[in-house]
Amino acid sequence: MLAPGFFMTAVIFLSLVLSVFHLPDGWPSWLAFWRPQWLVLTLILWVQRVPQYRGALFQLVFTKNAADDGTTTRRVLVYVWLLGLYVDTLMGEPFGLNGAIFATVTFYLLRFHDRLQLQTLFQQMIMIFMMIFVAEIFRAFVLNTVISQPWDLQPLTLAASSMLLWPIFNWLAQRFIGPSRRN
Amino acid sequence: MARPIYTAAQVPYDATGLVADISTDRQSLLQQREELRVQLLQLNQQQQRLQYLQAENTRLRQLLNSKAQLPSQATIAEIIGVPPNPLRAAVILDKGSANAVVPGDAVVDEKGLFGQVVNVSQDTSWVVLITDRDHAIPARSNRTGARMIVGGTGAYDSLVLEDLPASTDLLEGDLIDTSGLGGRFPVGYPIGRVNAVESTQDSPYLQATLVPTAALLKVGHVLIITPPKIDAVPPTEAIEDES
Repeated sequence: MLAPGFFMTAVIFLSLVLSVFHLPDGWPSWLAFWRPQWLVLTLILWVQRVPQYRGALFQLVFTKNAADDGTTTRRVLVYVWLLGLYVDTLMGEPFGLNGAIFATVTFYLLRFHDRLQLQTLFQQMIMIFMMIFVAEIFRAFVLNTVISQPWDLQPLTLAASSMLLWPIFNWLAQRFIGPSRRN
Repeated sequence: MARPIYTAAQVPYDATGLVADISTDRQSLLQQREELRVQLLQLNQQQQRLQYLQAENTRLRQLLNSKAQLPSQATIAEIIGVPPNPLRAAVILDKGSANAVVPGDAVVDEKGLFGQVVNVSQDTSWVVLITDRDHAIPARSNRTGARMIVGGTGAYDSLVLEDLPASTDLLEGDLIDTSGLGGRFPVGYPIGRVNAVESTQDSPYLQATLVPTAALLKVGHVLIITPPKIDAVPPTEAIEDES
């Protein structure tokens, strides 16, 4: 089994790359509307394991072994927001948009972490679908307001493809960094 | 800051290109070289002609007492990434403010107008393509000189002529190039060819679409055109201000 820190850093880097990867010329362009939300999936993996180890870069930045009393939540949210700011520069989206989305998703996950562990894989998939769907509607709303990007079915397609990818993601994580435990 | 990630995302494409380079045989390389040599000869010949025409043009402009067209500067840049949003048409180039690229610079490839720079960082710049649905270019018909506006549609192979009066003389196959109005795009770069003209009884406007001449889907090199520096304040006024 790999060191979880190494694995998580690799997964974050890979999901950043996959988020900006462009399709080869000959491929149908509608595929771009089904790009899974790699970063949100990675966040879910990571947040699920925050209680037991504090993530790759997180360990680097905050080496203090803080007993969990809400400070961890706050730190995680700040860290996730910073990642979101970087993603904004990567995607050329309004500054803070991805930070807000990531932080909201993370907060929800931290809050309902215990409940998520009790659910079956299918229930988790449905929950992920709803979460990404709502997040993408928020993103579409902001982009529509700020740069008048037209509405389309992306919230639906992105949520669906991410949901379908979750079992594989989950299996990989369990295989390489062990199961997520209860708080 | 975004550069490492985009470079990493480009690795598979670079690798396939490398494999193709290695596996090219000698015969086809020689053939390619011969073709390039012929092309160079033709281009050199045209260049000589161009220099003569340019000089003549400058002289005639002087005779007419109108302003000479200043040559603009071109920086060669490589496309290093394509932002993932399928609703926007944009690319990222490997030249930024370190190479004196500023927002508003026009971008062309070897066949025609490509886009314009909208965002610049230290060593990258974002270029919105002419086919982006929010983009529009002041243009003119190469054949008749009629002014028009070319707008993007969001599709990579289609542009539209916006709000064109139904009486405009426009034929299929007409070349549309930049008019230089607005001062953002230099004059005379080809934008596209008209591929469909339609006029209906109930509309005062002509429905016309273009096919862009530039290869907008390819990944490779493009040129960033920096317009010649013109002082905003004419010299005489500047002197008056000082005194």
